[in-house]
Amino acid sequence: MITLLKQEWMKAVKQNRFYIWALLAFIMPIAVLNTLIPAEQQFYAYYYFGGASIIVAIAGSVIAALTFTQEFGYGTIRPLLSRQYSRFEIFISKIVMIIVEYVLVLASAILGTLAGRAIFQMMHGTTGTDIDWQTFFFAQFMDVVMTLFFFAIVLLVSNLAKSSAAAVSIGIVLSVATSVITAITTYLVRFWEPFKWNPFTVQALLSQFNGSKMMNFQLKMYFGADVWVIWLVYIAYLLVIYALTFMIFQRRSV
Amino acid sequence: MSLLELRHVSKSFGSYKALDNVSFNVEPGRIVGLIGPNGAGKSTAMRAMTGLMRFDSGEVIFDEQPVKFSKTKALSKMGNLIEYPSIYPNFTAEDHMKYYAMDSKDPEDIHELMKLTGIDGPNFGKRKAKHFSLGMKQRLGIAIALVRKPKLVILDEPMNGLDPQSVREIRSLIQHLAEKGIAFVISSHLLDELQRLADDVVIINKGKIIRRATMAEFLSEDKAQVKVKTSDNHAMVLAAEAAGWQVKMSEDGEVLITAENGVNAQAVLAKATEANVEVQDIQTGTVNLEDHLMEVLSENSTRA
Ligand SMILES: Nc1ncnc2c1ncn2[C@@H]1O[C@H](COP(=O)(O)OP(=O)(O)O)[C@@H](O)[C@H]1O
Ligand SMILES: [Mg+2]
Repeated sequence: MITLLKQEWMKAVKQNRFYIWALLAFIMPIAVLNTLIPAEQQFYAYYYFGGASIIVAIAGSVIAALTFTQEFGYGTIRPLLSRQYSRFEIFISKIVMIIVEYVLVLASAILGTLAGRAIFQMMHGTTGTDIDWQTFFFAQFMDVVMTLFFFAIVLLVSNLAKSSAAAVSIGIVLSVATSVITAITTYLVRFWEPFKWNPFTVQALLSQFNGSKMMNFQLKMYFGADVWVIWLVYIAYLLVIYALTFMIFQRRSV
Repeated sequence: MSLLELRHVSKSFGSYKALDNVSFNVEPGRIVGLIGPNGAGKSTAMRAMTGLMRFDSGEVIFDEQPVKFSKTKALSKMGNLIEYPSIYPNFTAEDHMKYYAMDSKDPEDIHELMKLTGIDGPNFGKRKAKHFSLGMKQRLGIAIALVRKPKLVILDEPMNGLDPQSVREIRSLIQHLAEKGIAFVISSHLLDELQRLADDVVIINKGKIIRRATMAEFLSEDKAQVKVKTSDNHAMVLAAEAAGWQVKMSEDGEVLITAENGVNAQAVLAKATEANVEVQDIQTGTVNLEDHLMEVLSENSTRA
């Protein structure tokens, strides 16, 4: 397993150069916070890393989409699978590395934001640069947990399609068009109420979870169930989609 | 116990039987040539041997373990290059070697192996694999197949895309490694390519194994042949057939008569005179290897 992780890491660095995403995610908040964002809006801009949250999201989908499809595209899936490892180990090593890369890109965006904030403070004094650390980091943690859902969908598609192009585009569409999908699924709930339990609506609404009583109440009102039940449903969806993806990967002759 | 055993392996794609009850063995240190025309099932057989493809029935045993689709420990001792060399475009040759060497606790010395397979020159160096020619990728693929110190190496048409000089180098490399005890299964659609390399031949056609023999046995089946050019080849063929001889037309308009059961140039001349055919040229010689292979293949398909 350690070997597989090392090999995935080598590909992440040498083949896919994911650090370019990390670099972009670091530089963008520094530039944006110090050129485009006025003092009174600084506080809000930290939550989307001065725009770099889009980079983080796209990086996540591209990394996830390429991890499997690339191996099919290059034909390296054969040497990958004709070794002593089980397909399960290979699958898990890839998922772990996707999450590691994502967290590193995210961490880089956070560092860039903090650096951008520090530079802004040096130039303008501390006006408008308040930050509620707990809320900020909780939001980032929630981001990772919610992104597991996107990864699941992207990986499912990439194992079905085997084509990098299809997987990358669906990944990007999904990661950028959350609001559209949520709008559509939420609209459909009107026609058939139990449809509110569809994975997209569950994920979208749960992603607003922040631990506050107010939010818990709103979630409970909408779903008619306690928040922990909604979490359980979310986790169950994750497990089902990952298991389905693995089954497709597991059965494939190459 | 053989190093690799295929026992009655069958695989269909839809209604097409790509492998039909395929059985053969590979002994340690032997070079086995898997020979058959394009589409015969060579790559499919190799995918079955390496655990890459589910097959419908039969079994593959490698190093006393059944090769399974999901996990086979023994595969750490098998190297392969199936159909095309698979490379990571942004890796250098050395990156590839390091990457695949990680799989083994006791890999080959990477630099030694790179020298041995000829992927250490200035053409390689810091260059990324996406800039390699097919021949360079092919060599890299062979090096990858060797890096884990395998007991068995499976090479699918490894001479494809190589110039004659490289073919000679790869051939002597394989011979050198076989002397050290590594077994090989090497496929080709050209018998000629493996004639001086393989110890054993397995001939496959339309998914069926139609001949298993040592190369020496197979080559000794080489038959003498009488070639005649006549004023009326059609009449000559009819006359030869009437005499019960094995006969066919060559592409350049000669009548080829297999010399067996006492057939020789004199007998052919006599038969021509008898049939009122004027002989313009007559030669005796041996069947060329590819012709012999074609004969074996066509016997099989007329029987099937
Ligand atoms: N995945 C597949 N789906 C359908 N047919 C296949 C597949 N793989 C191979 N075949 C067919 O099986 C036969 C044998 O193919 P292959 O093993 O590649 O031949 P060879 O390597 O001897 O040229 C061919 O007719 C080929 O079209
Ligand atoms: Mg082939």
